[in-house]
Amino acid sequence: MLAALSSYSIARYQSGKFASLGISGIDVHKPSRPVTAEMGGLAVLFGLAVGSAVFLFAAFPQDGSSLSFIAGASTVGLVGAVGIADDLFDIKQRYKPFMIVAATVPLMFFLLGRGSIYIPVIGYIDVWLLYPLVAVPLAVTTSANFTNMLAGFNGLEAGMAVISLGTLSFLSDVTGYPTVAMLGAILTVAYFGLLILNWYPARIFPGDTGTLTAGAAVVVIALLSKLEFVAVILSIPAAMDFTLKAVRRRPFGGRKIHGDAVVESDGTLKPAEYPTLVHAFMKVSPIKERGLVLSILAMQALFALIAVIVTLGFL
Amino acid sequence: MYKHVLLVFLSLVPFGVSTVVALATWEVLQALAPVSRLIAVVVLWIVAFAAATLAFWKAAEVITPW
Repeated sequence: MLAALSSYSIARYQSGKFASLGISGIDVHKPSRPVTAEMGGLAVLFGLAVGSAVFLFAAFPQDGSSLSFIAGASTVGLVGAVGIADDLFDIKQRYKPFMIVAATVPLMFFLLGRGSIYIPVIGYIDVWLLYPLVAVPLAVTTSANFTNMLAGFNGLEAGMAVISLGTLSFLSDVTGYPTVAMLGAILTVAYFGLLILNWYPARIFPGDTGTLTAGAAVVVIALLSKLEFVAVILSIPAAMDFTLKAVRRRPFGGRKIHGDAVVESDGTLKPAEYPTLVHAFMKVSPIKERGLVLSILAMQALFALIAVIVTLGFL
Repeated sequence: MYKHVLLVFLSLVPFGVSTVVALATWEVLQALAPVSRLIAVVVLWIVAFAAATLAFWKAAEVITPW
């Protein structure tokens, strides 16, 4: 509750202040193209800090699981710091993965003793040191970048974060990781606080701070509660978007060549001529921004439902 | 509107196809060591997922009104 309140209050303050400070972007999917405050993810990080502090003071877990909470929160916070740097200084794309890998060190250290991965139907597979040293940084970096790419519409990133993190918190709790579930719950409500102001018509954008943090948070919660396959299922919509942009003669060059989707006077979005997940929805039938975001969130909710069914089915 | 709902459900196809391919590969490659077997399965999962995702895009193009 406190995390949501802090996140909402900070985002509200930012929405009024950041646009005048020049920390802003143009909402290109509205006919009027309003200037909107950026870096709303900062409010989520503030909510995470407040929520974590209250939880650790009020209910410090005595069974050693507090270390998992601290390792997870540190990694999410450090990835958020990379997002802040990216929002403020526009870091080159080629440096970002290395910075995110560096941010995963607390989690890698905590998971150093884990050497196996669980896949439903197949079971546990021993991968020894490949788990903490390769799988952990690779998973966090991949998820953070996936989330950063499927973005740019009011309520999309924060809404997807609420669905994914809410699902993971629930599943962490039912599979026996209540402390990790608490970390997930804090992040879920912090993103919900941001979503209120990010929903159509947005008063603030999450920025790279919000998107990178969301992607990292999903993987961190999944890894800490041994739900790696859930992170994979929840990442499918973002992975489809990434694949459509990557499998081209000029990978990720579509936007540079064809530009953004065009907004018509009635708010209907006309897709640019290159494949992405959002363009697929714009192609099949006329759609406005709000409807598009609701469609993608429905897709995310569908995969969240599959993740719940698979997890509970293999408990 | 119904076309968007259809597309939401069509998005299950890449995940479904790639998962079936991965599980079948896991059964076929029993002779390999577990880590090699896992890497082979992951690679094939990615290839099948990419192919099915491109098919998803083609489906969206086929039902386009623009």
